[in-house]
Amino acid sequence: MTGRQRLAYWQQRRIWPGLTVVALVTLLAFILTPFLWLIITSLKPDNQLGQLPPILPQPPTLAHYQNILFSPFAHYIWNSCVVATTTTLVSIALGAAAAYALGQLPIRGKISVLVFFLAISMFPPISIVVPLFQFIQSAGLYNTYSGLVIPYITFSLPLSVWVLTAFFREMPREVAEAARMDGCGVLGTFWRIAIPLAVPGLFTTAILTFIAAWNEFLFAFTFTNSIAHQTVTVGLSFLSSGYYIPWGDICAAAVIVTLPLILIVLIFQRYIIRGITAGALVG
Amino acid sequence: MNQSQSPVGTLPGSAAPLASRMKRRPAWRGKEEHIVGYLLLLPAIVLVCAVTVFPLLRTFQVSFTNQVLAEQTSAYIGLQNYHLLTQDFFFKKAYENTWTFSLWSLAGETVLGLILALLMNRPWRFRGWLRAAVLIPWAVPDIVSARLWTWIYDGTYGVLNFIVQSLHISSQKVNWLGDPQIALHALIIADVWKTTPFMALLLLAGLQSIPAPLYEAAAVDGASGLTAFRVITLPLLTPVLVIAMLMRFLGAFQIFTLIFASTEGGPAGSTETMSTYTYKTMFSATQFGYGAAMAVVLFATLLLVTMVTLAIFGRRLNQA
Amino acid sequence: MVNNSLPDPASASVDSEEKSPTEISRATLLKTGAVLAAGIGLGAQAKPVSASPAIQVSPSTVTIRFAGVKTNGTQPWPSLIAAFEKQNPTIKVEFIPMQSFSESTSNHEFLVTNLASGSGQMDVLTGDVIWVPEFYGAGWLLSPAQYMTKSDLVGYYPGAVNAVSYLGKLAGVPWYVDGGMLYYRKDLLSKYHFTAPTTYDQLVHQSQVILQGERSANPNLMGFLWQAAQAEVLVCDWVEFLGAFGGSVLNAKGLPSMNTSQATAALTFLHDLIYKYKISPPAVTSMVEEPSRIPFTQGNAIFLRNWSYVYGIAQDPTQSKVVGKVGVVPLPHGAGGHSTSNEGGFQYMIAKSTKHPAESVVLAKFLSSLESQVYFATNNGFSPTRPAVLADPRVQQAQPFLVKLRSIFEHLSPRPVSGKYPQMSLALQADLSAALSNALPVNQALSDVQLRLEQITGQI
Repeated sequence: MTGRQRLAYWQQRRIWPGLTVVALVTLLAFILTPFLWLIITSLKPDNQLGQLPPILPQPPTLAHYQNILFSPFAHYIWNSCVVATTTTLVSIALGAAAAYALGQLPIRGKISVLVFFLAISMFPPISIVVPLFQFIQSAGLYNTYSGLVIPYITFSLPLSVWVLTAFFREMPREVAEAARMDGCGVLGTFWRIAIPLAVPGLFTTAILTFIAAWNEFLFAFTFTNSIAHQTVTVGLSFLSSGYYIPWGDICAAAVIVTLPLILIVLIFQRYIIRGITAGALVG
Repeated sequence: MNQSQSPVGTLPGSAAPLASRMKRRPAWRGKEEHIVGYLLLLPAIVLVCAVTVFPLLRTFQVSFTNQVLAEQTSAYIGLQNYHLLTQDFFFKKAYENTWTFSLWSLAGETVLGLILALLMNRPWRFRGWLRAAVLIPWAVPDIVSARLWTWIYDGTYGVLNFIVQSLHISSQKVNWLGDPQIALHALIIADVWKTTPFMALLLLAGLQSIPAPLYEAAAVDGASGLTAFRVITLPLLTPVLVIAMLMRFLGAFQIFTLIFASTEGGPAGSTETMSTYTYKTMFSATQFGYGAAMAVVLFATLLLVTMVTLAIFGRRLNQA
Repeated sequence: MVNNSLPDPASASVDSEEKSPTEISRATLLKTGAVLAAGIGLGAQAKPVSASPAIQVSPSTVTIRFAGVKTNGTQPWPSLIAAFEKQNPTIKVEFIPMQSFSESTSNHEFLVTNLASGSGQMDVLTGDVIWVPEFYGAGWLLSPAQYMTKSDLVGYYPGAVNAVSYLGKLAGVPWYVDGGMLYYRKDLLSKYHFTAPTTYDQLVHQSQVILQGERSANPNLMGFLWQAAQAEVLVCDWVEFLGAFGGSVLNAKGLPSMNTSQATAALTFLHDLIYKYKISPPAVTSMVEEPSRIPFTQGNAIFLRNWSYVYGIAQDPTQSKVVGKVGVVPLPHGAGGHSTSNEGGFQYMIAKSTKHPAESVVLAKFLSSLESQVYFATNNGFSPTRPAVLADPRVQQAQPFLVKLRSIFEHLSPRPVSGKYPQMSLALQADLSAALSNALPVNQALSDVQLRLEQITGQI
């Protein structure tokens, strides 16, 4: 072998794979370590919270988890579930309908409509919270689930519409033609053909919308005033009392709140990836 | 299954199938589609208009007044708020900080996201677990992530200082969130941590839609890995990359919770962003008119960036 | 909601501005009579309180909404509300939880959004003392003056009544006050034969000696911790340090006076603490109350400036490593000044949009009564706004620390009282933080903030 061939051989067989593993491990460390610290802190007794060393709790305690689980915190989780699920289902329904129209049917000014939806997300929420509050109030929706779900749906529509439009756009016309030949109306085609083919996009949007609704704070805090309707993010902010910030409890609550999301993502992650790609190709 | 049926989109150069499809369109299609189309679009548009149009228009309107809630003033003053913004040192600083934050965060998450995507694209056995692990930062709520990083960065008992001192990288504790020179960058790192997973997954999906035969052909021709990356991967990834970066830019530009839950814009206004400054103006100082003008400037900036992006890359995106 | 008239400072505070649904005839006010505060059943013996006239409330049951901030320790609201409802069977109270003190900005946003929209979502609310002028000036608050007489106000510290008044009108009902104080490590000071410092020169000297001596035993030990983050608490600290050097944010005429030699001396001293004497870590520029408290109760600081809540935590073995080693004294003073403690604390306010003003005032008065304040003092360690509370044997037994420091609470210095205070606060926070984090030289920061304050106040 010539010198050059030998170099290429080593590059291919040893150096690149070595570098690859190093890069992977480094990045994984960056991604996972803070979350690991979150977990460690949640297991530390209160009087070790401000102290390093020791890094690990000595001894670990489940007190923080007990504080959270045996407290009304469960209500917040329930409220978040209700609000996020409802938001997701309705947002998908409305978004899919609009996206099918934009992706398959003759609509004038499609780009303008799409930019219109995107423009909604260009306004900082704090600048519209007061007029929105007045609107919610006068509609009698203060401190109700609807009072949160309706704004959430509205602000998740840009995402639904963009991702699902891409999916419906890619749906081949031949399939729609065939359905129509068989006597399906437009709506029939939508329901029986388009939706099943767009399942990956639907799952993607569902997960993205769910996580966004779960994590939202400003509206949840401003439009509700009792534990009957407040969500998990508000509940987290209520863990502080006086000036005292209970880091241990907060980390425990954070773990409790994040785990369902991670599980959902784990279960549906195959679908997310296919969905995001399509959303990127709307143009 | 031909390529036009793949949900991950068609590749450039697929004009031929499109043309043949168009020729085969039956004549009776038309009216029903039109009506149903608008009907399907209607609920979404109506909802958006009903809920957001009033608040948005109201904000526009208020930006032309001198409304200060605590003083019960509310008179039209035309463009005076906008004029004041051009002279407001803190606003200009916040605007600058927001651009700095957005661009650096975007750069960080794109580079790391791309590397991660390339790594995840390889046939590892534990790919599923890898993807789930990578998604964790994205699944953590904003407020938790902000508090967590504040906890990590704390100047006296934070774990990062502990590590830095233990490894003898620095003998003093670093004042991560209290030093105006580094606070913003510390928060940029926190944001990159949170958003890299999202970018990585987007790019991974883009990578997966590039057909393997292209790489095989390149290998046969003797191209090295880097050349293949430059000639095949990057061009075909561009549409995905551009859309991802645009959407992430919109998000980064409006960053709020991360800043507010950690430094509140300090120290010395070094981490003040458009959103935090607008929030303080509207709610701490109750200067609604002035704050509304800031919101409008933010909106206009983002709209401009979107338009420019679509103008430059529109054709490339349409091809895909 | 938008009405352009500010309350008239000249009018006597007992004139009512609007008709209330229930009737109040001054002729029927009793000079002696049933006392709302007595006989609540909270404490063992009710002390006789000066007579307060009965307010006519609606004969049918009404529900009023009370937004109560989240305090430290055990939440006092459930017990108090239960006692109140027992006392007043026709008034039901619906509790609206607010966030804790540490989430001041969120609470402020919550209240502003609610009050500005005239929502009627709350009748009685708790708010930071600095919000009183702002909310009242905005026309969002109902003055309880028409339901209260001079004898009602006699039982309070004059400073407390001032804290809930704006432009001569009563804008709220006092709840509690708090002030900044100096915590120190008794054990470390006595080891080096020091007594608690009364001047800042002493504090600096003591810190340097102790740090030098303890370096090998505890390399993490810091000298003096306070709060210099760009947040509201920085202004609180500033009022104290400025007063300690003989200055004030607004002078006697109410004009900004940050371009004085006293202000320069104070800010230079603070800058020196970090960069010249090095007894305060640079990290103070990221500290609010808790990040400065934690190292102290972990045993890593000699001196700490903070509010009264720290004392309870310092004595709790599950939180603190310095139980029994902590002393508290008034803050020291510098050259040409006097010990200054900034006035904090929350007060009760009544929303103007309330449909039940009389009942709301009854609740506010109950929560501000002697018995309630004794409960707050013993249960949460809140410093009262009534002198009689610290004379109560229950408080003397449970919270001797409060009694010992009564001189602090009786002479608190408020932040500038103005409807424009929030804007002033933002300007002060920005410039002071810039000087303390070395982004701006001290002189430039002061002249900049002086200019800003003049612009803000000059708009009146």
